[in-house]
Formats: sequence, C-alpha cells, structure tokens
Amino acid sequence: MKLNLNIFFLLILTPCLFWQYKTTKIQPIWIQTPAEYDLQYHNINLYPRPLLRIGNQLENKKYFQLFFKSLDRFFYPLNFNLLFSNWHLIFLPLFLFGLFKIKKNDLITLFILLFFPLLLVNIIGYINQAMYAFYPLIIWFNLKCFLKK
Amino acid sequence: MFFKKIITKFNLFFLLIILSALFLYFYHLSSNPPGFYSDEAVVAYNAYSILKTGRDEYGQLFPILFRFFGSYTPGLFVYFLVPFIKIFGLSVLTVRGVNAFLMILTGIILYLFLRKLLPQQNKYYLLLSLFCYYLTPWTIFNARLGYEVTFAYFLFCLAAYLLSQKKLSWAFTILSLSTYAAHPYRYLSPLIILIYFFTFRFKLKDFIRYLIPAFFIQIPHFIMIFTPAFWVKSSYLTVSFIHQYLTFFSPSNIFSQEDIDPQRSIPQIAIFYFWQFFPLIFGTIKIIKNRHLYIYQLIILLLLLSPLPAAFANANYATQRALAMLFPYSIIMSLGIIELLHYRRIKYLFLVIIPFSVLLLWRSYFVFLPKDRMFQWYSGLKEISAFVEQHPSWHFIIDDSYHIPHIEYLFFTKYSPQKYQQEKGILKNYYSDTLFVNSGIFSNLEIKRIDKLNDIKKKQVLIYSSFRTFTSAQVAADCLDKIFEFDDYKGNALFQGFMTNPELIKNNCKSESGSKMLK
Repeated sequence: MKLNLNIFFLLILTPCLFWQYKTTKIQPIWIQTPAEYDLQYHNINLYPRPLLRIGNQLENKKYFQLFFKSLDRFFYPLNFNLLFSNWHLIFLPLFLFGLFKIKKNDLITLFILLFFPLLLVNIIGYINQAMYAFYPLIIWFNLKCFLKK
Repeated sequence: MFFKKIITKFNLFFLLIILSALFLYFYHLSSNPPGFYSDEAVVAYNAYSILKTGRDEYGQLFPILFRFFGSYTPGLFVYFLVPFIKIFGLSVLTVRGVNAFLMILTGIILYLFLRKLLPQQNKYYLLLSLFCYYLTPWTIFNARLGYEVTFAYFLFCLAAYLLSQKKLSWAFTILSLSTYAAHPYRYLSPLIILIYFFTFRFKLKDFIRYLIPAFFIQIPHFIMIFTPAFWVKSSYLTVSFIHQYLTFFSPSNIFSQEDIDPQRSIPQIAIFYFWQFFPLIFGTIKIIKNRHLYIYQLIILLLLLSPLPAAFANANYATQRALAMLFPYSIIMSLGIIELLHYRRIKYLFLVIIPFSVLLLWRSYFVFLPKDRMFQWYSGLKEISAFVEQHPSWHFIIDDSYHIPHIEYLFFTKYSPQKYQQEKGILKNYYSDTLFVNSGIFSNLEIKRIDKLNDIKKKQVLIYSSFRTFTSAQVAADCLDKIFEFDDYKGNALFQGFMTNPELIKNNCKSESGSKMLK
C-alpha cells in the first residue's frame, strides 16, 4: 500500500511539472533582465575607490550573478504563505502532522517530490498562476497524516 | 603548570573565535551602520540625562516606561547603559559597544546550551557552530546597534539556558526582568512561563514557589497597567495573524529575502546565509527524532513562541521584533552543522563555505550598507549638529518631515540635560500624554514643518532633508543662500541648509549672494 502510494504520487508529479511548465512565463536563468543590469551597476558603484577593481571583477562575474539568481529562485517557492495561500491554509496543519510522521523509507519520495519542482522553478522562473508542481508534495504529506493512523 | 592547564589547544581556538567576533563586532562600529538612528540616540541621551539629573528628557524622575517620542519603551536598557556612559562617555561607540559585547555573551550562552544538549560531542564541532553563530548576518546586524532589543535578547538567551538547566526560579526571574527591556518581551515572557507550565505539567504549588521573585519584579508593571502608557503598543489578533506567523518560518524569508524595512536589514543578504538552510533541515530532523526529551521540547517551545509578538504586531516580517527566534534557530542549525560534520566529505565543504560567507558578509555589510543606507540611518545629522553648535548666534529651523532631529542634536552636542529640561519644562501627565511629538524649540534650534512662505521673512537658517529639496531656480526666487549641503555617495542631497535674506525679498533679490559649502 505504501509503495503504491509513493509510485502514485511520483506519477502525478509528471503532469504537474508539465502544467507548471506550460503556465509559467519562462524567464531563463542565464538571461539578465534590465532590472538585474541596473542592480549590477548600482552594486559596482557602492564599492569604495580602492576596492573598485575587485568590486568590478566580482560583480561582473556571470557565475556570481547566476548564483544569486538561482538562490532567489530556489527559495522563492519555499514560502508557506505562497504554498498555503487563502483557503489552502487548511492543508497546513495536516502538512505539519505529516512532516512529523516522516520515516526513513519516505526520504527518497520526499526528495523526488521536492527536488524536481525546485529544479524546474530554478530553470524557468516562477512567474505563473500557482505552484502546481508542489501540490503532490503537499497532498502526499496530508494523506500520510491519515494513512499512518 | 597552571599556564599549561590553561593554554590548551581548545582554549586557544575558543579565544581565537571570541577575538574574531570582537573584531567583527567592533570594526568601524561608530561609523557603520552610517549615522546614528534616532531610536539609538534617544536611548543613549536619556541614559545620559538619568546619569546627570536622575530624570529623563521630559523631566520625569526615574521613569519605569520611557516616553521617548510617545512609544513608552521599557527602560531597563536605559538604566543598564548609565554606568557605561559614566565610564566611557556619551558616544556612538559606547552605546553600540555595550550591545556588541552582550551579543558575544549570547554566543557563550549558546555554546553552554549546546554543551548541555550534546555532552558527548566533539568540542571542536561545538566551536565551529559557535563561529557560525557569530558570523550569522542576523547576529552581526543586531550586535552592532544601540537598540534595547539586543539587551532583551541577551536576557532571553540567559533565561533559555537557565530553563535548560531547570533552574526555574532564576529563569522566571530573568524572563520577568526582560519585560522591562523591550516591548516584544512584555508579551513573550509571560507566554513562555504560562506555556512552560502547561507543557511540562508542574505541580501548581511548586510552580507558584518558582514564580514568587518574578512576581515581585512585576510590581512596577502592575502600577503601570492602569495608565495609557502601558498600552501604547498593545496588539490584537487579526485574520492575517497566521500568515504573519508563517512568514517567520518560511525559508524564502529567512534565507533569501531581507527585512522589508531597509533600516532594519543588511542590503542584499537575508538574516541567515543560504547554506544554513541545510543545517536547519538536519537539525529539525534531529529535534523531531528526540522530541520526547525535555531539552528538545524546550527548543521547540521557544521556537514556536518567539515570533508571536512580531506576528501580533501587524507588521510584515519585522525581524527586530522576532529577534528571540535567533536563539532557537541557532541551536537547531548548530545541531544540523554537528550532524553534517559527521560526514567526512561535507566536513571539508566548510572550508569553502565559511570564507564564502565572510565574502558575502563583507560585500553586504562593509561595502553596501555604509553607502546604500545613508538616508535610512540619518547620516549627516552629526555634521549638522556640529554646524548648529558652531553658530550659536544664528537661529536654525530643521524640517521634521522625515527625521527626529532634536534627539540627534542633543546626543551629538551632549546638550546639558538640566538646561534642556529647564528650556522645555517638565511634562505633566507623563504616563497619559501619549501623543507623538517631534517639534519643539530649544537653544538656537527649532524643529517643525518649515512654512517657506513665512519662514523666509525672518533672518535664519532653514535645513531641509532630502524629502524636500529645491531647484536652483526656486532658491534664487526666494533669495536663499545655500550655506551647506550634505550629499550621499551618488551626490544626491541628504540635507540642504539655506540662509534666508528677508531684506533682499523686498528688493526682488537684487544683490549678489555668496555661498559657501560645508564639506
């Protein structure tokens, strides 16, 4: 029963990821927006004169910019107010109970259900209607709470 | 023999960490954060006033709640500062230095807490956790400020440690004291005591015995409770409470976004480093696994209760109000770090992570903050105060549209509290006159909203903040002479000072006007 449930959730993850992809206004991580250029220019100007050269090299590094951008994108969906906005808040207590019921065997499923949506959000951005890809994770936690009983 | 016992490898590492924390917290302390915010200045000047006269700036003798600008702040930190001001003098370094030192002590409390929690653990792993605590942006930011919340946080950490030792009488006494240190603790401390009682099911008789000293400490509050001053910052439950409460647990907020208030945050860095997310996960797993043990239950209790005052306060993600969370979060992250250090490969990753964290901190705190937040930290008021003091025969009007300049002037010029109290008069109805007051006249200074039409008709100096600046055409039309300008790093004016020329207005400004700039 447990194994089937895990497989079931991994199966619904695929259409959810697809739906997330289709409803997202794609912003590839490697393309800089005008606002990001502005921020980069602003940051360079903040370095004091003796450190301007170091600042220039640091702030102009593509990897440095990509790093901050990917951090933003990684953490953006990990927001309880976003995942449990409005009436979705009713799922929160069950989500927390489910969290306390995690066993070692569940860790792989948990990892897959969390990793792929995060990866997708990182690559394509997060400007869309909802965090569809995270729904299987939330429902999985909620069901775990009941099924274990 | 004695020295051999003291000079051990462990002690040297411990000392090295404390010294590096001292360097980090005291380096350019008086100039970074730039300026001196009014909330710091008001605490410092009132402590100075208590030292000199026994009264606060409004003339109230040893107040329990300090009126300040109408916020009625609990006054324990003001009294705590008095001996330091007596010894080291009234300065930015004294006020901020006290908190920097207290924050270092909270690290030592954290270390002792971890020793109690993990007695068998490798002591060097605990030291690394301590170093990570000192390096955390939230710790550094609050260590380098002169706010009362850092002092209250120190008391909270001490109480948490005493609770872990089950020294309940002492713990409740300290928690009771913390209600006199900062507003959030007035709600948090009783809540902790109450929930602690229900969670750990003490006999009522024993519990009352432990509470006796804490109860006696609350007597001044019982007197104050019937005054409007006590309820100035009272909160109420709103529908958005749950959402606000959740913001303090959302990884997006604690690892990625800065506080919404630029005056309460470091530019482009969150309250924790991004990598601390992983120790938090591992630490949480450990806490959940051991949740049947007393000390782990205590950590969960502290973590869940500490953001409540901030969530009740109706402010979005106010990190300063939720500072108490830093302690339970740091314990959980330390547990996670120690768990991770058991993996050999991850152990070496710390050799990269820690220098990278130092780089991020240096970039945000020591490069961006001093320039990017000049306006928010009231940069320039020190120079203006000196300028006003240098010209005692001139009359100055400072516009009050953004800043609270009177307290900055009093602080920077070390204005005599006796003289100030005489000039302003003693405030009657101290605990019931709760209106916010910023305007006033004393010495050669007037603080009010400048009425340009009328104020240019008298010979005086008008000082505007960047909220109200003028083009050169406007300046010429009103026959004003710009006598100084204080700019930010971009060259935008933070303050402008104009000398009025009423005699020229009658002649349509027909006279050559010279100008001199203040650098």
